[in-house]
Amino acid sequence: MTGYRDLLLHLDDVGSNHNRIRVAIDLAARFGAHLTGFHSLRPAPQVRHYLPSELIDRHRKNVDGRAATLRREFEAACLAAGQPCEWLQSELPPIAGMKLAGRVCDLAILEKAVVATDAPADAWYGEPMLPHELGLRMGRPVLVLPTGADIDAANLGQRVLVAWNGSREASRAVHDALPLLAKAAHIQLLCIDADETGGTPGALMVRHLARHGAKVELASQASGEEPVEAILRDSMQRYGMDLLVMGAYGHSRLREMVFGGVTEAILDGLEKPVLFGN
Amino acid sequence: MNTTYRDILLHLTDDPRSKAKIDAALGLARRFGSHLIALYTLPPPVMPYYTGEFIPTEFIQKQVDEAQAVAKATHAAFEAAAKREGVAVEWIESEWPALDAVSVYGRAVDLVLVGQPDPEPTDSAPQAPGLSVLPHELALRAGRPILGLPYAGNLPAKLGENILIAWNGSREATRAVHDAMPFLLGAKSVTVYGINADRDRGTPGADLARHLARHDVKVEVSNTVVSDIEVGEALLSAIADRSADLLVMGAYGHSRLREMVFGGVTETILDSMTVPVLFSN
Repeated sequence: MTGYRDLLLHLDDVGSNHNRIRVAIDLAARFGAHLTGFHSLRPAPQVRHYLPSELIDRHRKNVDGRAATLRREFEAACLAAGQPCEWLQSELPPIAGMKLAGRVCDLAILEKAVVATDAPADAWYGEPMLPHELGLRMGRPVLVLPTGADIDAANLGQRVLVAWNGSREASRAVHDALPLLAKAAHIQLLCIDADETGGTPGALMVRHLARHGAKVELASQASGEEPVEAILRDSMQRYGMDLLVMGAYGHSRLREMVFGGVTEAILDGLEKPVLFGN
Repeated sequence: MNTTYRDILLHLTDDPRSKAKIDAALGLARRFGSHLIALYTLPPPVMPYYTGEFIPTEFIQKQVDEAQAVAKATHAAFEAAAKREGVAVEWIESEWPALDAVSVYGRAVDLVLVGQPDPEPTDSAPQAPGLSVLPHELALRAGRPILGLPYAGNLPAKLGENILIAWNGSREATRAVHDAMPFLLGAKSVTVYGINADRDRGTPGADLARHLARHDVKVEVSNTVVSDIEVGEALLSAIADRSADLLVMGAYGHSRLREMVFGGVTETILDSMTVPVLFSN
């Protein structure tokens, strides 16, 4: 296993970055990975009328100042942990910037954004859509952490629930999570309607994962009336799981619509870290 | 992402190239220490629907019997070759259309091997529909790397010594690169051939080189900017110039504009493919 060698952490100036830095450093240390901190600089607010240059200068100064503070926090934490790191800042909005940088990483780490409703520039900034967009279009796995949660970083990925519907997206997510699965203490592959959709049976996947040295327990459930996200949340809780692995689904195809809604519903009520693949 | 392919799925059907495919698959399984699964799709009987006449059941039965005899012979040849090579194998037969069967089984393996269909078959006999699969179509459905073996010529015994990566900085391209990791790790030389990556606002080839270095893969980067219609030709000449024996590239859908450009490329490449291509989406 080469595992994760290159981690990319998204840092923002909306919420606290403390938890995600801690989790990222722990994961990087676990895999002997390089860690890059990424931050998007906010542009000056777009207004129709003339904006005095002093205002633009002041905005610029504020933005640069916040970036410098973030950078110091990130680098100090890495230094204290002896973690090799790198700082990347960009004037591209987070979605575009992370997509570009993320295509050459092994795992991108984000925290679900606190939605700031008062700042008009945030629509451009696009952060609420970041996990979904990256999950779909970056081509590398995305680990989304719940906002401000006090995550037990050292044990993250010990007990893993894999959401399996037999689709290409589900297969992508599983393979993207392999470095974590190979080290997990307990993995459950939960098949939800896999056979009905002409998908790959969970049993084939379990056998395949065994060849990768991952021991996986197979469980199966028909969704019926219950929404898939509720089934996943229940299972996470009931079995004390600390990580969910699932495909990220777009909206274009019929089958995707069913699980596509799940991606958003899971993100909306995020309680535990989720690794998305597509 | 792995250093090796733990299991490989080989698609077989009634095809004169079966022996060459089996040999290539066994070679790869030995190199990577993989479990090899052969998936044989039985060709469906050909129905002369236009006759409007009653079709005797013997007519269909005869076709089924013949198809099963070919399957049986191929199975025997496969098992014998596997035994000779000392590779652990498994045999699956399916009556599903090839694209469906290979997609379903392919999602649960690390690499899928398929033959590239001959665009101009020398055999004038009508081909049963659903026999072969297009590697890039399969890549879109399976979500795993698809290695398409050329329809003509000898398959190189050690394919992947000299690898060319077609890099445009897209999500598909990065998927292909990471799926090809076991090949990249074992290659003598790897070239990142950047095509319009900067112009199309993709991730630059130099960034990919730095990332791959962290995986202990050393590469050479060569960038080019060409007009969209020349992309396929540029790629083919780069393959020839460098005598590449494996091309790694993204498989593109047909919905997005940028994809259409590279999607067209995919088809150009397939029509003139002389080297194996690893496709991913």
